[in-house]
Amino acid sequence: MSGIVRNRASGVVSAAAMQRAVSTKVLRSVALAETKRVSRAHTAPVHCMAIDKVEHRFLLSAGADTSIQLFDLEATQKTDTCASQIEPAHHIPAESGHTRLISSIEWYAADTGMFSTASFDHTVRIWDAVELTEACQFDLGSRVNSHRMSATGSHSLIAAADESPYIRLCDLATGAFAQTVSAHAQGCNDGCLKLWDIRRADSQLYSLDAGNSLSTNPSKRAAISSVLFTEDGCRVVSARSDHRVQVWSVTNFPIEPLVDCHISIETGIGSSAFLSPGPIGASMTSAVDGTTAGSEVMFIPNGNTTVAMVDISSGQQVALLDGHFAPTTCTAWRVGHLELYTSGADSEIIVWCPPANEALSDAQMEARADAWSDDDSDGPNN
Amino acid sequence: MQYQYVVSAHKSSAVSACASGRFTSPQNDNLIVARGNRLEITCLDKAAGALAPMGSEHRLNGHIAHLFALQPADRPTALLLALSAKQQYAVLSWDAASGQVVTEGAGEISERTGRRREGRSLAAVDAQSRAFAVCAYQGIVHVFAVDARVRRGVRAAPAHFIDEVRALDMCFLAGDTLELAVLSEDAEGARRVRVYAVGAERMEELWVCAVDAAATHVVALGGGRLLVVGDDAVSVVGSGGRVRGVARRAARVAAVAWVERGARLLVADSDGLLSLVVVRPAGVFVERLGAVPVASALAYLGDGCVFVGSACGDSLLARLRLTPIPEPQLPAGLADSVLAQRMATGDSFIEPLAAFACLAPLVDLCVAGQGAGKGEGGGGGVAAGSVVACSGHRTTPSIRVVRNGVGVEPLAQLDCDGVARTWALTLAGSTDAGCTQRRVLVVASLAAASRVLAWTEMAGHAEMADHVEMAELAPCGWATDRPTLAAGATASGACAVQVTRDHVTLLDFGGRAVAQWPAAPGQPISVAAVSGDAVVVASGARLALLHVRGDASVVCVSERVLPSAVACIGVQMPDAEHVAVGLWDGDVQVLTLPALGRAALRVPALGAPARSLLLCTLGSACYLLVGTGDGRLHQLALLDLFLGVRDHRCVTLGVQPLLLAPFFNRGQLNVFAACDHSAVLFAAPAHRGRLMYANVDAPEIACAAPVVGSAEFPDALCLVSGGRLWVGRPDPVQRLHVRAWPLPPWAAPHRIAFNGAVYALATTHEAVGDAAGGDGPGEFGRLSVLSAQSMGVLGSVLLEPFEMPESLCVADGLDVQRSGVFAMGSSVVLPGDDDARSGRVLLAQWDARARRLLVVGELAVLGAVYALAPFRGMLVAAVGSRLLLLAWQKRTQPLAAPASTDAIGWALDADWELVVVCSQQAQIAALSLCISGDTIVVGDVLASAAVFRYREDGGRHRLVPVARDAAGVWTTAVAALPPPLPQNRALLAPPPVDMEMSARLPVFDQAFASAECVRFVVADAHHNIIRIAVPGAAAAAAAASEDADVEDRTAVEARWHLGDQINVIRAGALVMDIPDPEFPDFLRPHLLFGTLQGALGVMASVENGHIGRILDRLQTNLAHLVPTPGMWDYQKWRAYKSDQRECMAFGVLDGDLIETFLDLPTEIQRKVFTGNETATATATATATAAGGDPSDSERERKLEYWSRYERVELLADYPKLVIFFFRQSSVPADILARYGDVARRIPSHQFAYIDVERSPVLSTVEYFASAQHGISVFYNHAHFYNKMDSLDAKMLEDMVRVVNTEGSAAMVGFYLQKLVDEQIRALKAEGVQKNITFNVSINLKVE
Repeated sequence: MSGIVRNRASGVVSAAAMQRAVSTKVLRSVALAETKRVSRAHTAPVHCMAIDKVEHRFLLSAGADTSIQLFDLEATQKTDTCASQIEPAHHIPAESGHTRLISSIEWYAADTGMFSTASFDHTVRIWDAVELTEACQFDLGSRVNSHRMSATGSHSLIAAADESPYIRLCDLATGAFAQTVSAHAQGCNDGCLKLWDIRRADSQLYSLDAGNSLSTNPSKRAAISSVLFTEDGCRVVSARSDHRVQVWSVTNFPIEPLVDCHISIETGIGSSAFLSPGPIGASMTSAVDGTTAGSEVMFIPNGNTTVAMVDISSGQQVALLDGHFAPTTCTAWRVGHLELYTSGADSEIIVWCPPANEALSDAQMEARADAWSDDDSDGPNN
Repeated sequence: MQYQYVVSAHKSSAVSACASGRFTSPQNDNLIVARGNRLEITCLDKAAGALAPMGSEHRLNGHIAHLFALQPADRPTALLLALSAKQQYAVLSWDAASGQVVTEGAGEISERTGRRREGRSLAAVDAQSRAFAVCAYQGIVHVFAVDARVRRGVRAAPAHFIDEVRALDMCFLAGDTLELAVLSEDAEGARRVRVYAVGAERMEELWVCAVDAAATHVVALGGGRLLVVGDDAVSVVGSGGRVRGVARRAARVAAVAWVERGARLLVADSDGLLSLVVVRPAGVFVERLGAVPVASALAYLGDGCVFVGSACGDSLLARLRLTPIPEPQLPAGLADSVLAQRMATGDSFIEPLAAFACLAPLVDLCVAGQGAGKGEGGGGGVAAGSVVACSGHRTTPSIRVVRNGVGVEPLAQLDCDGVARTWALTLAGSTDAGCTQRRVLVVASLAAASRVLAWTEMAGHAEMADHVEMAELAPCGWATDRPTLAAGATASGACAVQVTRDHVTLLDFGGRAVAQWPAAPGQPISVAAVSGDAVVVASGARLALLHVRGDASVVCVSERVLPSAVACIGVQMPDAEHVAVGLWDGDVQVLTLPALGRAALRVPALGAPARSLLLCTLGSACYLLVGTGDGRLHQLALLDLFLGVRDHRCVTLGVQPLLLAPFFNRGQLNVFAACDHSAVLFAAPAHRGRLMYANVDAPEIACAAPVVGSAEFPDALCLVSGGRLWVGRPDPVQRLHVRAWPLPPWAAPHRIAFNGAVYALATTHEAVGDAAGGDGPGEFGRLSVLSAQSMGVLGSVLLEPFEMPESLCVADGLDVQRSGVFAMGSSVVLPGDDDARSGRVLLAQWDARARRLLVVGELAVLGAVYALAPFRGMLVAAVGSRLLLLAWQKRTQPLAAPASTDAIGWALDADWELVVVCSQQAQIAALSLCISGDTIVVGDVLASAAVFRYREDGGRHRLVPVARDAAGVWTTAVAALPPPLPQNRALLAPPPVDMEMSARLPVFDQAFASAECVRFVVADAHHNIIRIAVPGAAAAAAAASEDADVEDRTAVEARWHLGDQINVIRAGALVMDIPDPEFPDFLRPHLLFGTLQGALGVMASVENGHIGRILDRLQTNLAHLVPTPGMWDYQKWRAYKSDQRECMAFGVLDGDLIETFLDLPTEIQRKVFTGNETATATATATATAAGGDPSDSERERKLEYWSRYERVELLADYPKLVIFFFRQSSVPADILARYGDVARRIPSHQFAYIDVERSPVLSTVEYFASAQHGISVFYNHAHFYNKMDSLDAKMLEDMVRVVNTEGSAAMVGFYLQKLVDEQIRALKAEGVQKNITFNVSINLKVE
């Protein structure tokens, strides 16, 4: 790295190239955080998490216990082991809102005053994040598996996927369903990725199912467990239950995916594998060149106890993060802080970060010195 | 609120782009060079082989990434297309009448989806100038048609999606239809060219051809063929595939330019070699032309002239020759020894014509502070207050000494002790065969004698003499046995006048005394002044005016007795109508000539007797300059007719008596103020004739005299300094004087430090082994100590294999016994490793007596030592991701034999050693360090900065993490700001009008307002500056008592986009010698920074909230009211932008912009400051005249639109509304039709409005206001709106913010649909009344 830093100063290496090289290296080192942890607030598997996109500071989590926890990631308590523990700042108690498992949760992109949840109790609910009260709800009539709001806050539509063959667009401005697009024949397991332009009358653009349609038996097709728009909005990533990850271009008519790869770890029993809302920290995303193995990575909960780190542009699996005691369910990347939050069926939320990014406070130093007094208590060189 | 004032002392000099074309007139061959955000337009003078500048520099609101000349068929002159780094474009033309650049059209390329290209965008221009294409996003090309519409800036280009995600270059094919070729690389690294037919709607792929894996440039050949230039081959490809090719020497292609389109192409490579690719039907040939600087841009100017613009060394203008030039003469000022060597090796077809200095890339710099001596030689060495910079990279390294001042180039000298005063005069002698013989006399006055030196020149003689022999004049009529009081030539130049104690003597060309005027007996002459035929002499208090009549006699014209003895006399220049007389009682009187009557002018008391007087006209104003015996210079600007003093300023230059001498420098009258810190005064035309001071980069000068009329030494000065009498020629006056010391390529320095104790510089560099550096191939690191006097290498230490120097600092504080100690950190990257696993900290001492460089201490660490800084008698080292505190302590174990005994200068201290006393995990990779008291700020490679505080308890040293800026900032440099001066603390808070806002901002939190608050500046790789504040130790302790685990908060107080990568920030200032009254104590320059583009900048703190805010508003108004070519939005240019965050700039004052205010005409200054309605009419008329639009109806239409809209406002009170104000009492009918929905709703009012959803859409609103309509969008801060009654009128007016925008009118309809009824009512209720009442906005749209 020293040479590349020197060359950046003289202009021989562009800042972008230097950043790509460094961020690749740093991201590969992501490991369990030693100094930071999130307190266990849920009593049942956590199924969804979201970090706000304004300050990258507030983490929402929800799951099977129907409670919603709000963490302020910058307010920490000291624990006995001198790690900083993030306690829930607020919460919505179980059964006080949703009555069934909460399947997805999302911050409103433009500010931290609002978030939305979708649940198996057939509703999508909008919450006032300041008061932690329900603002409105949409009843979809069947279990809602997932929902999404605008990633930029530019419109007020919420797309909700329930067990019906349709995607419903709930309009926050009117409180009504704006549109319904026909999605799949029945259920959501035909393995097709479909793309709509909701501004058009014939709104469906493509149905992406490379290789999948070869299998004539629909029941043999691997269901898509999660989809993700890349940060630039130009590509869609789909992950299937057969551990296959495909990256599709949105701009050109795709016949074949840009990237098609397999994750090498067997997916366990976890059925709802969610991808992180943003692939990686924004400080690195635009430093990424689309064709080089760089730092454009995504984190995929594998369903077993691991989370795979996969390079979007190459499909290469960069690392496997193993820390949970039960199947992993979702991931959230804290932009700009080099922190990954993962949750699992063990009701835990775990923090990951590059080890080099953890500065130890005085007390932590001492605690560590006590705990590890044998080796590096006063190592003169580092 | 403390504003940060950032100004460039030396503007960026790296050439980012250039273009050639007939831009200013159909006859001129113009070269247009872009340096950062500045455009320089020059015209090639073919005969002289020089570039003549056309007007001053043009400042654009954006970093210019590309520059093209467009030559549409229907225009006599070319247009200029500029593309900014922020995806804006501008089409510019030249208005010959006003000598200004006119914006024909401008706009921005922006896509809601899509990834920005890494690095700069690609651009291509059609050979027939029908279209240009820009690739700013991966896989998206925007094609703009160059037609009448693009000139109005309303054309929104269609975005074409292409398959090439990683495009490398593109060009238009030279053909009848528009075809675009894109060179790209795929994921496997294979490269190909794909050609598209460009249609109105989409691009159709025509053909594709695989090319060399190293191809980087593609240019059109004609006939549907392309020339693909790569690092090792050139090939011609067509639709049928590769036609033919030829190998070229392997080097990265840096730039290409056509000499003759389709036939001969110039290729400059990264080794600095220029070659010519010749395409003939028979084949492709590559010819080596010769060495040039490493190019960043290349332009062929016609007539064999080529401009090689460089971003890493000096740029060059050269002429291509058909035959090799054996020994090319390098132009003056080319500080490139390598180039000189390479060009001198012969076989070059390049004749250098002119060089343009460039400091880029400025890798490191140090400020020579206390201890920097005065250079002994004529202007050599590093003086106090100089900045020493490492510039250039490996191919063209140099050390550049930058000083605030002018240098004097020594031309001739003579050792001559004891000279007190000197005069130089030129006598014209006999004319012989058309040649006038001239004799230049230098009269030196010693304590008890005079010496007269002379040389003879033949004026009008075709050939200059090779050398001038200065000889002492044979004894003749000159009185040499007594000191001379004054000397001069008569008006005709035929005779000389010498004034001694007893006589005023008139001497002819041969030195014979023609006439003499004796002083009255017992009243010897004490002071005298000679000005042409007038000689003013004083004996005690008696003043006499003598006249030389017909070069034959000297007569007394008038006499006057003054109240006190005369100390000095100054006759008015150039026409002797007045004389100023300084008296020993401290008074200064101005008398009229020839009557010696007292003029009406009363000079205020100066505090000390005058020792030198000068009455002269500098610029357009008349000044009385008074030098006093205590080294002060009083500058009195006089009213016409000598009625009074308009302005009185006093500057302390030195401590010794000041002598003033007027002289001509490049046709301008300047004044040389000689004393121990000499300065040149000049009226700066760029600053409306303000008097400016420039330090003289020369040792103590006792006396200066202009050498007038010498052909050999034009504009020279005769100077007396330290036992020498010498003739020197001052450099052109400028505020900064840069002197280059070229270095061989193996000694490219990368860190530099100045140690005043031994007056030496240390540099670290990587040596390439096959040069003079080492034993074998490969790179070697080296630490060298250079003489600050001569820049010669005094001694050096070679590092171990694979060890590279990383950091350097002065470490004299470690050991009081030793001085001249430098600490150097290094990294060792072994082959196969991608990062350093180990490194060393070396302590090296330059022993000035033994003249040896000795390594006295060594410490091996586990990682690269990225930064070092002295700290409380210790050293702080940033090693990898850790922060170490190193101390110099008594050895606990005796010294073992050093590991590398073979190294030269290895002399480890036997008793003391370097040890680690504290280690702390910092960040991912701590690249930079700065110290502020007990606080250490660490800049991380990607995670902004972290703050650590030093604590010592019970002898244990600790570094405690106190705060961290949690943002992904790719830091390049950090620097601590000193706390504000105690007297300024009360002024920091802005006046009460801001209370409301300040209450909301965390910046004004008590913790951050305290004096202990630590502030530091972070510069990042996205070219931004951020200022961060951390509460002081007391506040931290208070917080810690409550909750020990809470880290301090940080507050970001300023965000700003500089547009250039700052490589280094150091404490120091360029103004050290002059306590300039223009730098009052609330404006304190603390920091100097150096950038990748070669700019040297100054950061100062404005420690007065009120002044800061006024400057802030002045800056805003200047940005919006004073047009810049391109009409790019200033707010966008300075907006903070990184991968993570984009926000408006705040907290920083743009000194480069604010200082342009001084150069504006007075009426514009007034308008900028107050704003008024007449500006509308003026600006409209000007814009129309300058617009160059051929159609009258078009012009009228624009005028009509402008006259209709009064202004458009976005109120912060009602963020969802944009309000249009119309000039007419009711909304015009056609606008009613266009925006019918709005107008119908509010029929009786002067306004219409639109709803904007949220603030992010603001940029879209700016789109809305279209250049076609000539609308300006104005917006006010609600806050000022509500608080207007508490503001004075000036404040009220200057706070109006104006945003000029451009974009697409098509957006209008879309947003008009979003009207909301409640907002109309709310607006009617309050907003309208307010708007109409406080209608002070400026409506100015200048195109």
